[in-house]
Amino acid sequence: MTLLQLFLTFMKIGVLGYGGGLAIIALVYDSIQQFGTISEEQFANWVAITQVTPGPVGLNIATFTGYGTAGIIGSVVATLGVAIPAFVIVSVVCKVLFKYMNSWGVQGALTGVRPATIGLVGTALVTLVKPAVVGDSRLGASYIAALGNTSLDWVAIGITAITVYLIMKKKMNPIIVLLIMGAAGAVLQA
Amino acid sequence: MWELIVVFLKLGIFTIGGGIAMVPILQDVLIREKKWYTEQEFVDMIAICQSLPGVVAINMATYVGYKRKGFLGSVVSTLAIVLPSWLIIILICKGMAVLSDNTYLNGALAGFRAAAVGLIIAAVISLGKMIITNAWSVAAAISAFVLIVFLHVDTAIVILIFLALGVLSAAVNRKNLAKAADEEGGDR
Repeated sequence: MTLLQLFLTFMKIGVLGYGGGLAIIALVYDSIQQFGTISEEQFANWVAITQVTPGPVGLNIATFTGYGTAGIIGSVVATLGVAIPAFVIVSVVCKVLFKYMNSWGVQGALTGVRPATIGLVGTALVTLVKPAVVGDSRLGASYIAALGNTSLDWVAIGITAITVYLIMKKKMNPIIVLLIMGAAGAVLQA
Repeated sequence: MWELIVVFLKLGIFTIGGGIAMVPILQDVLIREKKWYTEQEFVDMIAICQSLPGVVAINMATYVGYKRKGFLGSVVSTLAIVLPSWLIIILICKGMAVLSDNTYLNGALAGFRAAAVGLIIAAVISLGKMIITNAWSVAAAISAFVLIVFLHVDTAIVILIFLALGVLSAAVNRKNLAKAADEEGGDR
């Protein structure tokens, strides 16, 4: 019963959660109150962890909540619940869209939205920069504490700048750059 | 099919933060390495995935998989992106206390995060160079940023506004073209 509830709850989040990632956090918190097993502090901890661990935030938070509620099976159910609606919707939209890709309407709409998309990708910087280069958000630190601390982290700023240089000027593979910077972070901050 | 699985497993591991953090790596793989997408097609993909409900990362995996290999491709890509993050979180749940006290791991994650910021800056610059070509597009990019970050307008709504503006201007252009063609015809 709990599993079905968990699945349906995360399916709802999957449908209503526009924009993904951090946008769905408030929605998740409200939705999981019915299970009554997760405290506010625990949830804040999860959010902080999902932001610094690999993997999309929306999926991570579903896995955490599912696990916290009903163990491993719970995590599978919640993760699939959040993934399935998006999957179905996008599949259907793609089917229709690719058919009319060359019509003036679709082309016009896409021409209109392209520059806005650049601005949109830029907004990801704001959510990422806060915990990454401003202050300290160690694994497990509370989300609020992470956002409240505003001291600048010069090591992080340096890593960011070198990354931009390596990608733009040296045309390096982004995954290799990530690995190098991860190693640098381990050495420098330890 | 294997290519799709490998690409999205990698993305599942190396995406730090929300779905948009996938953009730099996806850009490198789809445009430069595999040459499956042009810059324009890539930006279209982002816009469409952001305007639909659901976790953006899943939307992108489904979209790319579907475009490449149809329904089966979308299933495979979606599962591939889910798997690594699911596994990582389960491991963290199991050994949280040990992990959160490890300074090396914390340092590595901090390095990852800072590098992810750099990757997105590079993505914005390189995509911007391709897409932002006139005054209108500069204004559109800046106003989208301002609307979302400072005025807290929902991302999906911002995209819908610009989609609508695009259709509108295309409709007006069509009308003008038709009119011009008519007048030309009348002169003869």
